[in-house]
Amino acid sequence: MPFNTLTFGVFFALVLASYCLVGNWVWRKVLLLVASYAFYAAWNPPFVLILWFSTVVDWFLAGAIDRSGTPRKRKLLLIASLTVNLSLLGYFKYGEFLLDTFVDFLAGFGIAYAKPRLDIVLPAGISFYTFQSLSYTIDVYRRKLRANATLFDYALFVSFFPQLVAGPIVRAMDFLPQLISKRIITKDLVGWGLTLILFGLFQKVVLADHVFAPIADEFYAQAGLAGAIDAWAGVFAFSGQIFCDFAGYSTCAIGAALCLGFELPDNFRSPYAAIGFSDFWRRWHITLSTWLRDYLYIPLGGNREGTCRTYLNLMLTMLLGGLWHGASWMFVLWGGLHGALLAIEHFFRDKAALPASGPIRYLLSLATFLAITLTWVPFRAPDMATLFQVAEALFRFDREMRLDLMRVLLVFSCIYGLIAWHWNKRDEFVEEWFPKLRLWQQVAIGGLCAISVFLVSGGDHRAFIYFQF
Amino acid sequence: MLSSTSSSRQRLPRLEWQTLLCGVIFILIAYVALSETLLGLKGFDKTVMDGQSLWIEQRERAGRLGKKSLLIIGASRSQLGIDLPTLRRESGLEPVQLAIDGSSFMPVLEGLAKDPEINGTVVVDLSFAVIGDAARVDAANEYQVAFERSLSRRQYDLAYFENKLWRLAGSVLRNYADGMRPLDALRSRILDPNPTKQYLQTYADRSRKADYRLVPMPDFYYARVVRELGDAIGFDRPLSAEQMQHMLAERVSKIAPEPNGTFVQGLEILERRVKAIQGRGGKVVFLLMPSSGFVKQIERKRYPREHFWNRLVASTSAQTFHVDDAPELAAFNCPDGSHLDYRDTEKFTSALVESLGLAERRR
Repeated sequence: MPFNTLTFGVFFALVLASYCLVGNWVWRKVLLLVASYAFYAAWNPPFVLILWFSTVVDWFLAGAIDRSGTPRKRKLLLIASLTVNLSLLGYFKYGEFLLDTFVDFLAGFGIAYAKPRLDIVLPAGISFYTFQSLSYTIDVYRRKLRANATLFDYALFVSFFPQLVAGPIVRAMDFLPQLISKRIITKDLVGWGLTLILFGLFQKVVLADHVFAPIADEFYAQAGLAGAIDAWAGVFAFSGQIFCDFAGYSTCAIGAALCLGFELPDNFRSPYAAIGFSDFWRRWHITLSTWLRDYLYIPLGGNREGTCRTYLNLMLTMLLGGLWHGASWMFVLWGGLHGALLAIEHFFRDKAALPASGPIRYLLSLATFLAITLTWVPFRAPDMATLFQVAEALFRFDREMRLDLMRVLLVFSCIYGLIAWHWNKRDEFVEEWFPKLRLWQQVAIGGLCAISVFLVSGGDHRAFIYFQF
Repeated sequence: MLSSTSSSRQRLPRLEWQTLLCGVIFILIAYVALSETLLGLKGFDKTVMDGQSLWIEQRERAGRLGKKSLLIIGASRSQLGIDLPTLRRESGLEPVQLAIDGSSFMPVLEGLAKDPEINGTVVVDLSFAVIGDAARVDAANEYQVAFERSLSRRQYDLAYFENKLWRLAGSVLRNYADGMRPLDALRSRILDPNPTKQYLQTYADRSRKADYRLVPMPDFYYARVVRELGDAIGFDRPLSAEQMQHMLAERVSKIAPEPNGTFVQGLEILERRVKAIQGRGGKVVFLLMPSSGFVKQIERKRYPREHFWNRLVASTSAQTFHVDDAPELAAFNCPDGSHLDYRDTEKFTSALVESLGLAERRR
């Protein structure tokens, strides 16, 4: 159930209240595990079995890896874990896509292949929990971690509801130790957790759904008819939407986990103030980029095998990273663009140093934001035809505006505000600047967020964008 | 301490949480209370948002009631014109409102005919236009399909609970009245010095009440007439009431009767459904609800009694009741030409129960 629903509000209130009332640590974990499976079952009850299957297989395989002495056997067991998890992901997420690609491939040779009807339903969060589960077996294989977690604790790590369906992607070595001894709930944890949930909801339901999404949706639905102003409003709106939607969800997840005494890693750090694309990936979906770095890029050789190999590794990592986002060549294109940008940046980084301060940094940051915004176009466009329509529209200055002027002005203002905010706070976390405010200012900000969330509540509920992954 | 990235817990702020959270909650409650008060002072009340899930709930209820049930199907005339508490009291039966605004009764009647649990009384708010119109697809089709789907897999899913919670919120707060978001209520009702009055209210049992004293008359009535005419009528200048009357009278006078070929074919389908329900011990009543003024004239001209109503009566085994045949019912005025004002619904319903013999069924 999405965080921006009344059902989740009731669910979380009940879980938190019960959690605080239950004194025994084991029973608290039982409560969390049951709640997590119930949370997941709200999407589609049978998919709990897939979650359970992935959990049990990896727990057994990790244990076997840990107990095994021979490198060959350890490797085989790791390959088994990779095969099971990637097969699950491959079938449920990429089955139809691969089949469609095969049909298109044959059609290119004039062969008409009538594909079977698969009707595969994508289990929510499968991309997230398979990656999470893989981090356990890989870290055990690398001897960074002992496989001494009980099945119960491991199941809770994989299924922990605040981060189950859309991250942050948590590493086993970071979460499992938190399950060993009782988490003490303090008023600071609950207070800040609830504050983060409020901030996350504000980002999601007010900014993402109410300010940015209507303009982005309207523009992309009729990109072929749009002029330049509408096009730039539309692409900027999607930039705002995807950040506020995803960062909002992560913030809610981190807040919910804090209320329960658990810590989840940061997932966003003012990404639209990034200077360069490496910096962007150190700030955007941090848990995914670090996962790809640690489990794909570095094992491929990273930047240790020479320049050409570095570019290849970057490209491969980003292409697969793009594919992880969705079963569509548009996501692969998006990943490829980022791979190319990273490679280009890598090339120039060796040639020129970045100034430590000054307007050049600001201009580079704006240029980065602009480039990132343009890469969101293939991410959002459903197909190549729409992509070309958007590209054309961005430079179609002779066409009149079709979008509502006030909404467009609101989008531009909010995007400006977002960039300015990110730049101003690029090296400062909210936990650092918020306490510096006076109490009445903190109350005012919280009150405004709460009223804003209330004002836009009711009506259509847009699902979090990253739920489709 | 996390291995790869930082976390909020490492930077946990220590603030005056009690004051902060109480302050935030106080501000939120203060806004809600203020907006609720202002909406109340402006005459807005809480309403339930009608929709598919509410309809399905009532439809499920219909199946459980058996012979005690008194099911109303049709469109907005019966939804607004029939007072359910009066119906319940005077018939001794348990009414269920299954009429769907702006929709055909045919898909719902078909569903009732196929359902072996339906053996009570079914009152059909008749519309000649939908009988025999096989191509028509509207909300009734959608609701019926969703209901049938819900039978095969019990759907206590997220959408079910979320709908119930939002309906609860709507029944408690004026800010959510009429399916609005509080932002819409702020813009169009609180801040607008002349907001459109809330003349229509829906209740949890899907009945509705309309207060036509809150709408600008006769403009509202003329708008309804223009809709019934179906023509795009443009005005190059504002017309006075007299000019409007004259223009509409002229248009109405030119209306020709509709061909009744598909209608007659539809009567056979209708009778099969009636027989299915009555074969199980149920009862079906076809009721022509009142209309007034130009709306009535339009209907009588398009669907002349001899070619439509009389054909229906001749072909069906169901009870039929034309409101024109009962002077006490025909006398009720519909302010917008099509629907009764809520002040008349109790009396109308009482008279209707007597005329249909529903009170005798109780006795």
